Amino acid sequence: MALGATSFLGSAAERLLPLSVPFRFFGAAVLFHVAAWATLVAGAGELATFRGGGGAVLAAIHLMTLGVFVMTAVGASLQLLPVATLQGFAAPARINAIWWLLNAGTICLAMGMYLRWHEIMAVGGALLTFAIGLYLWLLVGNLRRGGAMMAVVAHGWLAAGALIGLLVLGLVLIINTEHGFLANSQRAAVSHMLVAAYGFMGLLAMGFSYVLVPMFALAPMPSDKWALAAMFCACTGLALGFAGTWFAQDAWAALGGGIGLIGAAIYLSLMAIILKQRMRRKLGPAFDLMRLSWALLPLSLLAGTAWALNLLPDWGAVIFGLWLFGWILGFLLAILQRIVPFLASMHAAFAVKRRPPTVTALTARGPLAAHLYCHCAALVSLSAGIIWPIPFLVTLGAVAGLLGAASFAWFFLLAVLRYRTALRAPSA
Amino acid sequence: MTVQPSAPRWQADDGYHIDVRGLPAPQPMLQILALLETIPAGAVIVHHDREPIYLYPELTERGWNHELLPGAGDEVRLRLWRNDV
Repeated sequence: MALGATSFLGSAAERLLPLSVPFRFFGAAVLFHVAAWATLVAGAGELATFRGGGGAVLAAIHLMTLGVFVMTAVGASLQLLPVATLQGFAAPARINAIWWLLNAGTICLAMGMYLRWHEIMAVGGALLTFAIGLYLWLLVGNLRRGGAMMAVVAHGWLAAGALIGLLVLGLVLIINTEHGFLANSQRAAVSHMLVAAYGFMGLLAMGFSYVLVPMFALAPMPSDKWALAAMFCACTGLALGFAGTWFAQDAWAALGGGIGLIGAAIYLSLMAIILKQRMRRKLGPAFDLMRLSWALLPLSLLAGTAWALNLLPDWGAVIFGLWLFGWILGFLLAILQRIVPFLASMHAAFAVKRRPPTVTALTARGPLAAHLYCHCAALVSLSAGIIWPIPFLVTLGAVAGLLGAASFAWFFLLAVLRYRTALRAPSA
Repeated sequence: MTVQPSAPRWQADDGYHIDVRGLPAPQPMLQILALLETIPAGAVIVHHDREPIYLYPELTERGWNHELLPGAGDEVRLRLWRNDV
């Protein structure tokens, strides 16, 4: 295979980071995924009545959002944005620094939250500011030079703006835990969550969907016009939701939820069209998880809208957060289980002078099936345990999530080991 | 599958040719894979404007090999052939 490929690597290498770079981010995300569920098991008793404040639940949330969501988003965007913009990221030192700062910052922040130790939280916040600042420098530089895939690049710009917003709000909330200057810290925390989840992660997930779902399903990309329409609705809904939450105008927040639902409907219709036009007949278990995550997007918006209108009992806030995180977590894990063996196979094509391992050979299906069952069981058990409320079901759901995270980590480890074995195998 | 052939295709002594230059992603990948599904045997020469790195795992999965050939100017030219050929 690929005889003479190395002499042509120059052009490809500009758009292709060494495998160790995205895998370092993905590996950290996989470990934080385990840590987040383990921390939630420890704080399961507090989840149903969680309304903010320090402790295990807040720590688990940030292990999930920063450790899994942001870590995966940074690793994937560093690898995939060059495809969308046709521009490379030639900045290994800065990328290494981002990885270290993101890991150290997430650990410090989560530890500070768990122990209610303000100084450690502040150190975590400072480290994360440097990490996100460096990432934004790379991201904005790449987006500025890029011209291809207009809808994806537009989502990237707005996600970058939301990242700045969530960082500022996060720092304000950290300072507020010591000095208490915010009139309503709970509303500020929900605003922070909206910008982080629907803003940064949501827009990045939507934007990359228009590249990754066609790539994995082997289908044409949807039209930029409708992708931009979905983005416009999502941003308008988010702006109204944010303003309504911050200024205690629940009608604005509910209207934002309604407009967000229109955006979600357009986005999900585009995803359905992509899948309908696909060449790949069998999509595999990753798309089962992705479909589940897509179902949770409108559900989260419905729950958020109903909560804003005071139509839900006390558990409304927690269910809204659970389904919102369920959407993003499911989407990211579905992408990870496709992209990890895909990237490994692609890099092997450059690294070995014989047939590289196939994506199928690098994918351990058993651990992924176990993860899917555990992930579904966790969502159902947590939802039921919060709604009724039954503390045992909440604990059971957190344990199911932990088992699922361990299965996913096993899948990732096997993919890395199989890739390394393929590299070491003697030439035929 | 609903991918319509939109890239120029022709047959020459060295195999089937497909020119995917100028097509927006992921059309080049779809056009190439659609062609591979229709031809019984032989080599395929791809005329591309950049190295299609994300195509390689799909080729490996389908039992196709690839090698880069010298292309004219900015063209990236690949030769694809099946393992059993």
